[in-house]
Amino acid sequence: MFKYEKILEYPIDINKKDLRMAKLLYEQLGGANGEIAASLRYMQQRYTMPCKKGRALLTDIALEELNHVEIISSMIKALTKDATIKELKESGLDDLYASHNKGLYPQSSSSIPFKADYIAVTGNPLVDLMEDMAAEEKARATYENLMNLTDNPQLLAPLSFLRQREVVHFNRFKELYLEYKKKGY
Amino acid sequence: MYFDERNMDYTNQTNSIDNNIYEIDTINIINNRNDNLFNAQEGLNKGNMFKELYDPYQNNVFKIEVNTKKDKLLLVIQKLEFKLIDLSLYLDINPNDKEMYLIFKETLEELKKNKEIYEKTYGPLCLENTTEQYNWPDDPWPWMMEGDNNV
Repeated sequence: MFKYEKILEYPIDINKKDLRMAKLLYEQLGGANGEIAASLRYMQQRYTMPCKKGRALLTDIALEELNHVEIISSMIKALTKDATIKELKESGLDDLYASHNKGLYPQSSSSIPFKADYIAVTGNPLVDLMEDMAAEEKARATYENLMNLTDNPQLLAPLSFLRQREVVHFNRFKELYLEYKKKGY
Repeated sequence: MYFDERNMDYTNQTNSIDNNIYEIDTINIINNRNDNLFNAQEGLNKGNMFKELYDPYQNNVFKIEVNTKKDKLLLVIQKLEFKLIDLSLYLDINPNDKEMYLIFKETLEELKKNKEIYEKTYGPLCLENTTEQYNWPDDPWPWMMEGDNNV
């Protein structure tokens, strides 16, 4: 069972419209290495973890990734506040608007809808953990790309936070992977 | 709200952070220190409680700064929640680290007391902490910026 708290994991305070960056942030919402994929991946892999450490770690990281879905969504929401049709057209967000108006549809920055193909759930703990490590590294690289694309500290601060979380998750998965490898799972 | 610390020596900022946070009436009961950990505020700023795991991108370091009494209290809650999240991921795979568990328990106590103060004044963060009225649906929800209740 999951319970909700009305608080973001990291505060968002964006008062400058930037539709171009909003479009790019969709990559970390519904893209291949995005936060929805991360959360769903760990949530569904946890059932076949062979010991309590794996069950706990995957559950807790899956939940943290949901916090990150909320952070990215809040950023997109703030960046597109009061956007005009003209601005939507200029930024390339008009294709999203055609089907979804200002709804935050889970899709990538290049308008590909989120799909479960992005995640593996192999039932093998070593294979799953190796995928998780790769996923965290890919997300880290994506955050670095996004940071290269803006100078606004209101975006850089949360992006830097989210990037660092990928670093931590990668290391925790790696510790567990090495333990499982040693134990011969 | 974000103080851009790129190209600045972060260590000199620590005192100003603490003054910022503790000028309001919050509960601070942490006794146990662990030299391997950042303090909670620094941890939230950096996205990492663990000094040895910290790996910044280029020279990006940001410090969260808030102005209103409400936001300051919320930031105290956020930094304690963050500390709990990060410690829990460590404890999940190192459940026998008694020293870390003690810090986890103290952080939890500090969080509970600060949440109680916040919820009494500003309304529930959790469904089960609604007060005399059913005020759970009341704005703002987390994605609403201050003054943006008109979504």
